[in-house]
Amino acid sequence: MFFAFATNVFQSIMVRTVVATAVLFDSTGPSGGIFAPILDQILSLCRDLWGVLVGLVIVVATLAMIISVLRGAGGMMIGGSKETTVAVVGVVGVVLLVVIAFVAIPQLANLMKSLTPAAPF
Amino acid sequence: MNEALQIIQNVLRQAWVALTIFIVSVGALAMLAQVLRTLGASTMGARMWVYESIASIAAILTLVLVAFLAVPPVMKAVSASVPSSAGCGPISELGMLASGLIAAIVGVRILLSFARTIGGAALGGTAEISRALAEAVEALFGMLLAGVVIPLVSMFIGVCH
Repeated sequence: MFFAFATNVFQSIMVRTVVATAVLFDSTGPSGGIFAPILDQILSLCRDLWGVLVGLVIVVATLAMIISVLRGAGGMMIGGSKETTVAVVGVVGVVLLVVIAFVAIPQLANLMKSLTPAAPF
Repeated sequence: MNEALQIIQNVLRQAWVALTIFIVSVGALAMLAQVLRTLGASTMGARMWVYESIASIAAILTLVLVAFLAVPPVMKAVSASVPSSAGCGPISELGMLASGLIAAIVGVRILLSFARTIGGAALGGTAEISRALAEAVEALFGMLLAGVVIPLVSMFIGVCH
């Protein structure tokens, strides 16, 4: 039940990330002039890389949560409360990191985009 | 000479715009890559990697903010100190060309050093703020030195009376 809930949460966050990606890596706005063809290639590569990294984050986060739950279950089996606590903290940490990755980073990137300066010469 | 200066400055302005777009894109990718590294490291129990990754995320954000907020005003202030004319005589046109280009080349060079550091972090390395800032300071110092040297050279050549 927990894994179904976590997967649904990750999916909804991923939808938001995809929308953020479209805004972040769009080709409209100031172009690079003579560097525009190269920039378009680089931006298209960045879009693909973003998708790959998002997928990897989901996979690694899911694995990390499974490992933490396994550790916690093992700790409970032998009566180790510290292990169980560490496992719970680990799961919470993973969820926090994923939320930071999928919610905070696109917002930070939009902030950086809005701060882009004109050439000072 | 003025037309040549305008053409070269336009190319360098386009390079500046391209580099800013590159920095934003790669900065976001770099932060996501470091988050992935943090996840993997915390799963393995590698605490040093976790600290390094978190420090890299902060470093990437700092570098981008410095590049976008601090570099342009510093460039404007320093380029105002570079003499626009090398003095008098036939060398003055060359001096104007040089002084117009110095600020542009140094600005692009500074942004390139920041972009290189952020790009390294996007590939999974650590973002070293100190190296990027040292390159930026080195470029600015070179610009100031060139601004001092140009009038001295023109006086030494003896075209000013």
